[in-house]
Amino acid sequence: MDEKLHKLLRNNPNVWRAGDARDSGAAYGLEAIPTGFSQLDAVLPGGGWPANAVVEIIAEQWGIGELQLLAPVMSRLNQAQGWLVWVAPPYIPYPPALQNMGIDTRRVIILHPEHKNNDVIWSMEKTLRSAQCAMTLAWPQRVSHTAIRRLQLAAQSGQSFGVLFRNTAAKTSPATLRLQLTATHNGLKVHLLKIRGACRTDSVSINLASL
Amino acid sequence: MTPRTTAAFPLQLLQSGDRQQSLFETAQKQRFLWLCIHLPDLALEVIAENKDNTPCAIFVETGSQGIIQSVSPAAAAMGVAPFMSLSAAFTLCSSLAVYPYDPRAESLQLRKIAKWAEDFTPIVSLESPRSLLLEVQGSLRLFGGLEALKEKIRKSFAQAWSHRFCLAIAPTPMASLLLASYGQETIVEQQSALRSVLGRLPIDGLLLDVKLLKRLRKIGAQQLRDLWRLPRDGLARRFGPELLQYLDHALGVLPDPRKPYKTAQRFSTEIDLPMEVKNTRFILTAAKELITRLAIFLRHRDAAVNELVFYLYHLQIPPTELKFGLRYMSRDAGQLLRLLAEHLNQLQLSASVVKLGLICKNINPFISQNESLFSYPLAPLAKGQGDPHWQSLLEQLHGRLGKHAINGLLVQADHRPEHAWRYAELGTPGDQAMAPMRPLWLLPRPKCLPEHLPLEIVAGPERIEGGWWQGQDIRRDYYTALDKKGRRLWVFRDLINQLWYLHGLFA
Repeated sequence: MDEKLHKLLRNNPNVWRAGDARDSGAAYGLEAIPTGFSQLDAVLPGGGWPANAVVEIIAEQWGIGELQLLAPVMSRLNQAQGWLVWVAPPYIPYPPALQNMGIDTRRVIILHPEHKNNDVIWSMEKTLRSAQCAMTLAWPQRVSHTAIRRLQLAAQSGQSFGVLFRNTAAKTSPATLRLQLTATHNGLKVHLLKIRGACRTDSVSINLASL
Repeated sequence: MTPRTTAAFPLQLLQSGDRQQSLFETAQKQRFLWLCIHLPDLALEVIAENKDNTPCAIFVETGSQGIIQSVSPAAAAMGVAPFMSLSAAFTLCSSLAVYPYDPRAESLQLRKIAKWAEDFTPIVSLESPRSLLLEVQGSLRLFGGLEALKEKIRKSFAQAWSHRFCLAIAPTPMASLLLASYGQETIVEQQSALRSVLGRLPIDGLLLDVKLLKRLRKIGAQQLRDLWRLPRDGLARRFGPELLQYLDHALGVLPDPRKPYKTAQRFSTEIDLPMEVKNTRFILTAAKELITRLAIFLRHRDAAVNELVFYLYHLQIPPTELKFGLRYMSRDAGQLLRLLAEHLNQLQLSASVVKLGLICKNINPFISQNESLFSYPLAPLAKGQGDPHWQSLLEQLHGRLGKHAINGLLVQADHRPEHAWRYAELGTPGDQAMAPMRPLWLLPRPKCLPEHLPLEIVAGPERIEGGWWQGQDIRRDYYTALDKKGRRLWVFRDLINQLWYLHGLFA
């Protein structure tokens, strides 16, 4: 192939190349942030969470370790002077525990929209779009495909990382990465529902008791 | 500065070199320059507008008879003149229309003109009843020199108002007032030149007591220069210190401070829509005009607002009020418009809108902040509180979600779980307390658990006691437990009532 054309294709993040999907940094078409869990890094393309994208985390109930899964990335982004935004969390993110995780509580914002689902999505889009918010976590009641697509674009333009927590899994979703979590006796079982740029699914067990 | 010291000053300077020479020059430059706009027929023009061709006059009631105060050109042509009695005026001109003097309308109009004059200088002083003083020294550079400024004011005034007026510029307020009221369109830049310019003015029109003027005329003083020739101590003895003070003010020998005019600290404006509108996009377009007016108003006063009230007027039903506050003072039209757009989007209109109104009551001095040179996504350098993009985001969140929906977190050095934290303003520094193992989710208040819940205790107990000093005595044993669904719970047994509670989740 023409060398120039080859170069053009290689440098375009919107072109997905089936050949180099597995274990290469360009798999999401995005940078990756290490998750802090070696088992998980091993199965995620690029070795980590997709930066500047929206990740969907699905679990039947909260309190099984979903925040500990995100703790390393939260503290990493927070220490880089970015704001950490929580939109409509189901409980209170307990500050002493956040501090134990290495999160500076001065750079944490909790938003409590008054039970309006639209406001949750709107706030998340606004904060994702802002260059100052490094990471936004949201617990919407419902979220449409269009909304997720908008959130993806917002995360891209604001260069921030978004996490949507959902109780039920729709069959499909435009999110870059979808994980289903189930509790195990000493940690979590992470089931990869969807990875953009890689056609496979995996399951990983993570031990949280040691944390 | 007295004339004596100005005379002595240059001698000293010659001896002590260039540096002081330049200091002297700056001292000279920093003096004031007052522009006086005198409106001789304001009283008449306010009441009888556009009546140039009909003879009309304003009169004041003095005792039993009316005295003519000012007359229209048509009446003046018939021989009617100020200070004439009403009966004499009617004898000269039987068709004369007379109106009583209305000081309120006159001063209202003068205030309106003062507001207009604030376009040219921040220091405008009302000189009742019919003159305005503008301090223009500070505006010279902006408007490109004295001549240019004067021409600009002249042109702008003629466009904005239909009053007859006269402009004069002098280094003292009293001198410019005198020159303008005598109809002398003079520019006097040097204080030293005042004596010769003012000296030619007749003493009749001095704003002094009528009896005093009569006595002055009796001693043969016709012009101001006649007074300057008289010995000061003698003048003071015969006519009192007020006369000398008046003359010294005119020459700038004595300082003559003026009270600046301040417009009302309230903004209100309205706009009629060309048709009945229900679409918020059209309303927003009209509101843009109102916000632009507000931004101009604020810029002129170097002020900012943090609360706006919009009124959407309907036919027959009372207006919809749209009130929103800002976290910080702002005068940025773009930002205000974005906020308004947010609010309008959420608004459910019950009827179509015919008129828009905007009222701001809380107007405060503006404190400026630096904006970044480069646009944000390219150069995210300072991720801080002072960043305008960040502030604008917080403003939008504040506007849509409300003040109480935005919270920061704070760690407090307290061993009781409920008191180890609280919601706080964003960015409030908390205590650095290293707590033992704590759950990431905390329940807003402990939830009572039923007896005999199948829980597997994996860690504990940790006893937490205290609070008696605040009347909230707690005695608890905390455990970490696993429930059937695999959740790691933070539960405690209340040692006071022996019940089990759920207080957090190790998420």
